[in-house]
Amino acid sequence: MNHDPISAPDLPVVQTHALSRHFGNMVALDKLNLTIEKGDLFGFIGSNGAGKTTTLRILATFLAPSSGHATILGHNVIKEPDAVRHLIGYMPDFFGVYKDMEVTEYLDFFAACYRIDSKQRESTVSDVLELVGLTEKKGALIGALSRGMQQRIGLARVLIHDPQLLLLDEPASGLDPRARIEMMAILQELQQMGKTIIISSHILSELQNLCNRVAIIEQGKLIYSGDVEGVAKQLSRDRVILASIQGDWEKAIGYLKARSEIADVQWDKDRLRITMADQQSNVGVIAQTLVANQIDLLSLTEDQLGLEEVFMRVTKGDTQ
Amino acid sequence: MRNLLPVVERELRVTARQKALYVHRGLLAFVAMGIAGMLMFFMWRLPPSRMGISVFYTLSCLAFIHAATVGIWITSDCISQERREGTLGLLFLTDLGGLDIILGKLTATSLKALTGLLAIFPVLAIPLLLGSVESHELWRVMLVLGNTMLLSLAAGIFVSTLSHSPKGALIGTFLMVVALLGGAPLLLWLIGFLGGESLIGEGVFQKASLHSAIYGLILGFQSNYLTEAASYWQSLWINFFLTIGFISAASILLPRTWQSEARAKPKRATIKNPLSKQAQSAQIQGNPIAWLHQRSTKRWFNLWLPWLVGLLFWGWASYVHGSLFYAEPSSWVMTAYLSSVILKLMISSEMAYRLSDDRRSGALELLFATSITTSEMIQGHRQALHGKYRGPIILVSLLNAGFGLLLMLWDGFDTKTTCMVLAHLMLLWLDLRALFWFGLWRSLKSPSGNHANRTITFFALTLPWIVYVGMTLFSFQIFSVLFFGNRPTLGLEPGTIILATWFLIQCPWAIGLAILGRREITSHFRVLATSTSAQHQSLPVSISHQGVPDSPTT
Repeated sequence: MNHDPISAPDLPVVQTHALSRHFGNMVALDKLNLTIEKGDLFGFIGSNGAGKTTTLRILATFLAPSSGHATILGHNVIKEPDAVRHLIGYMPDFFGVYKDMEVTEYLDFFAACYRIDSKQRESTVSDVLELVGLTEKKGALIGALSRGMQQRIGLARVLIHDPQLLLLDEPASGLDPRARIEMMAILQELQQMGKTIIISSHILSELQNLCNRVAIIEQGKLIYSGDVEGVAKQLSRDRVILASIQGDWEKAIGYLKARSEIADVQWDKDRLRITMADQQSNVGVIAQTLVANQIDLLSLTEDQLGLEEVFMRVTKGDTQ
Repeated sequence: MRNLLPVVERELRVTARQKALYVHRGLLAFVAMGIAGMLMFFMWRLPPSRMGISVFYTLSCLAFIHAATVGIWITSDCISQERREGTLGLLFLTDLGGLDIILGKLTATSLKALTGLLAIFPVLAIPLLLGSVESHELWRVMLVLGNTMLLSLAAGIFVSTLSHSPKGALIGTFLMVVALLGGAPLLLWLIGFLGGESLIGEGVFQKASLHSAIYGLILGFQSNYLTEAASYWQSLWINFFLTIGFISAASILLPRTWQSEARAKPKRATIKNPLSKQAQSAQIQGNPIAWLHQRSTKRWFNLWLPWLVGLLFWGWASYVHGSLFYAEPSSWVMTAYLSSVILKLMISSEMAYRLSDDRRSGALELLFATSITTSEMIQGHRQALHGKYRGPIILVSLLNAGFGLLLMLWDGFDTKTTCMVLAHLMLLWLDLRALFWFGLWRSLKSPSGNHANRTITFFALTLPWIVYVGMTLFSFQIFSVLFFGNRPTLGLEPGTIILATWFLIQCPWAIGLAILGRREITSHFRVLATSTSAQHQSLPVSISHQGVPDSPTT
């Protein structure tokens, strides 16, 4: 069986087609279509019970879908689970550590489970420990380490066999701010090393800075999948422009409201909040109108919605 | 105490919602009715009064076994589990005191035991209708049963207060119950048997027996009560005060011990026969699962302690009694049998806890995310079991074979004895296989290690004996009815028939359990390992497509 992803360089790392999963009458996943390319740091966003863990567990070969299919680097997760397990590193939302083991013992054990030769294991363990910043803790008992360090050991474990794809289910949950920032830095480093990473998380502000692509899922249905930059444009209903001016702002509101391209204008603290009539409206009309009426325009910026705001707007908070 | 009622109310509400409460009650009533019906069928020729008294004695004894052992099954892990899961501390953050928690737990757990006892009660009263027993006798026995049940539950809670591990709590409660039921008389007998008769004064044995609820039950029967009424009440009060003592001690100790787990430092799993780094690495490379389950040496002492005690007993008894002990065939048979029972119990316990904790913590699921296959996993467990129990298995096999050979020599290689010895050796081997496969499956399937331990012990080691005794009695009665008392012998002695029945039941039983366990493990290992206990109890699971499980998740 060929596990080498190099043989199929142009394949997407993850591809799902109409992936569904039912538990009795409950629909956990409803015809999910996802495509994740090599090198993506992909944020998987959704409320509790939205279907994120179900998707990750299907990709990790722990769960069979009710219908549809999923492939990882061309290998079907149902038909070729052994090949898929070599390609992925799965980190669930629990530690699953043996607390009475030393750090190196634990990683050595998992390296052996991945059939890494005994001669290579020592150097591999050292490498992954260095990568996650735990070299100085290699002789420590896992049970004696902090939650953040145990989480980093979990990350070291999934890296031990050098997988192409990392499936990380809530890797930063329960971590303190420092540990979370460190974890995110490690993930960015891994992305730079060419790994493809799928990360499910509730901390959306961090995903916004970390990921290049995101998917939003609610009640098993995909609401959005694409670039982080595009998410606000695609999902926000209105296009909002912020304009700083010098002059009579009440008159400015009057001039702007008279334009058909502009739906609404509000004075928000020290600037104008201008809602365009539609996404395609020409923003230039704002500058033209203000200049024509001798009102000084100091700055003009588009109000980009954050991931959190988008998420709150497009989801209803329904869970199953 | 002012907080007690809300706690009790909450615990009772939680218990009342559990399906197991009603299943347990219905099952006990069904079993009691079945036994009573069978006994009446056996004794259909006897007058109703004699029939009734037999039913009463039999059911009283069985109900007593249930009452005396409920602490082992129900309360032994109730506090220690909360301590392990960190929920005990949350209770102490409220206004609750030690006594509130202990009594709340006792009330909730006693509900299950009490309803079970009440389910037996109507069947136990049938002899009253038959005129076999008086109402006073029935109430006296019920009083002993209720008192014993409370004592057992309280002993379980007391041990649970001091325990951390589920296994420790279970074994500790078992030993405590054994000590309470017959510790002092057993000790006195042992002292007498080992040559210390002079140390035991006149009447000491009877006085020492007063704490035993078994003694109380015997005295509660009318024939004994007429002459020993005072002793009956003394025994009852002693047990009652022991119950109060256990509850009080647990209430005092609980606020002082609940933080001990949090303070405890994690312990290092020591390496068996400290290996060089290279040797250890090679062992991991061979089969990581085998290494995982062999790495601890904590059990070395526990592994050899029973055999050491047995050896000391044999040596001392041989010194005191000489050839009356060591050259006596009954000593050989008992030693061989007890040694095999102890080995089976040890392996049953080992298998019960092997996977349950790893599955609950999710560690097992992580293993299945690696390249390890199901067959490698099973092979690893087999290697680990062999590695750890090789010594005791060889010892017990040699003991059984050696004593068997002596027995055959003693009987001049009589066919019956030879067959019995060979059958026993074969059954020992079959039982060990059954314990491995069935134990591995139950360990994976059960919600906890203790639950698995109880299931394995019951189905693999106890139920075949119950079936054997029941079938033997039943078949003799059937033949007696069909042939008007002239039972067909098929040309065999009754002893041979009993032995043949024993083998013909135990042998297929062990094979059946091994096949069942093996089939379930080989086809469902991944499914069971990657789903939580609550999930695979409530929803059906199946294998779908080449080993990818079809189990639910969140």
